[in-house]
Amino acid sequence: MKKFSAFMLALAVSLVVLSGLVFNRAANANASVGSTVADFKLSDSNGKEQSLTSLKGKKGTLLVFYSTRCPWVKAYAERINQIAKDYQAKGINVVGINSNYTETEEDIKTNAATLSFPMLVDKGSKIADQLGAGHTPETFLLDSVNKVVYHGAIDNNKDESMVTKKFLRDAIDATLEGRAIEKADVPAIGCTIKRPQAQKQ
Amino acid sequence: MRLKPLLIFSLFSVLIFSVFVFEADAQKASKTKTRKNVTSSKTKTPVVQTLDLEGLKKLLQRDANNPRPLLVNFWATWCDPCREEFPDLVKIDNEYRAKGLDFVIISLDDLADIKTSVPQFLKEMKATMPSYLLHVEDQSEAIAAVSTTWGGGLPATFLFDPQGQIAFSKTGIVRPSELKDAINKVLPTK
Repeated sequence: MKKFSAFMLALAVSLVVLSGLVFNRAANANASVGSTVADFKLSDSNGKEQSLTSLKGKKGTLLVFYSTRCPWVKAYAERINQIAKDYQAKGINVVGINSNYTETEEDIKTNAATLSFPMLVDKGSKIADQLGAGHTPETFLLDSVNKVVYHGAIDNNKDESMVTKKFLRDAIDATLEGRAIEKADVPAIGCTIKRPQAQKQ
Repeated sequence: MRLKPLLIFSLFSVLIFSVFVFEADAQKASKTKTRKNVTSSKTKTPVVQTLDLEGLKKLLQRDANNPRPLLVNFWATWCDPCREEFPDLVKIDNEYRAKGLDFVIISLDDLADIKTSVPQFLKEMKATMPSYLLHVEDQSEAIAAVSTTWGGGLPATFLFDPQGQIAFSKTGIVRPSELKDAINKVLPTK
């Protein structure tokens, strides 16, 4: 009987430990709205090491998963650039992250020279994995303490002339004004991030 | 009098010969016609229709009177992984359509490409499944109409069971074996 009790206790402890590990993995796998993004370090397109702490804005940071090739990103490039220009003086810094292993550092550097915000090179797609980013362009708006307050689309149409809802700008404005964000998670069409591990499958 | 059997024999021979010639011509004509039809179907450029939000919602609804599972693939000509997986999807369509699977493809290309690069690619792939190009005012609403868990990345493949519930979904290149396993589970039993 004692042996049985000991076995059951060991089983229960194992289950608790295992479920903790699984839960922890799930929690780390995705920076959903409300979660906090831990500081990370990456080289920028000029090869200089940067961190979230060194690049963050006083009032918030917009992380944009980017690509030099994706037509959807190209369609949004000017809009993202304009957001960076419009909000930098207001305390929101835009930071691009290129996690596509298929894009060369040279291409990323050349492309970054046309942008008004820094571009980080996410070798091995580690930060994309950490945040759970799936495609480009995909945005994560962080508040002043790196809590995700908005995730997803920039607006509701790739064709700028047809845009009727500017989700991201509304979310940034709400954050700056201390208001609640009406729609905090909006899906968006885009190009899948080309992860090296996906290629190995 | 001796000429009569010879005349009859000659007429009979001509008749037999004519029948053979006619039959041979008919067969040749038939073969040519069949080949022409095959060539025609092979060279025919697929028609791609525009799809708005209401059309998308309607497309995803299953018919209770004719319950068939539905496979939907979202793709674009500019999307390399979409192009990479496409031959496998065409094979799956060829293999499973007769077994009771409905399969539609929905392009996220620009409207300007609906009569050029999109049908051209489908023609190269010998794709014959119904083909649409999504043209909506609000792309986020279209994504939400498909699945609450789809972030919007391409390619994206969704298998709906005959009741309209998602039985399988994949963002990124789908493995044919896993897709086939999922299809086999939702196909109508004979």
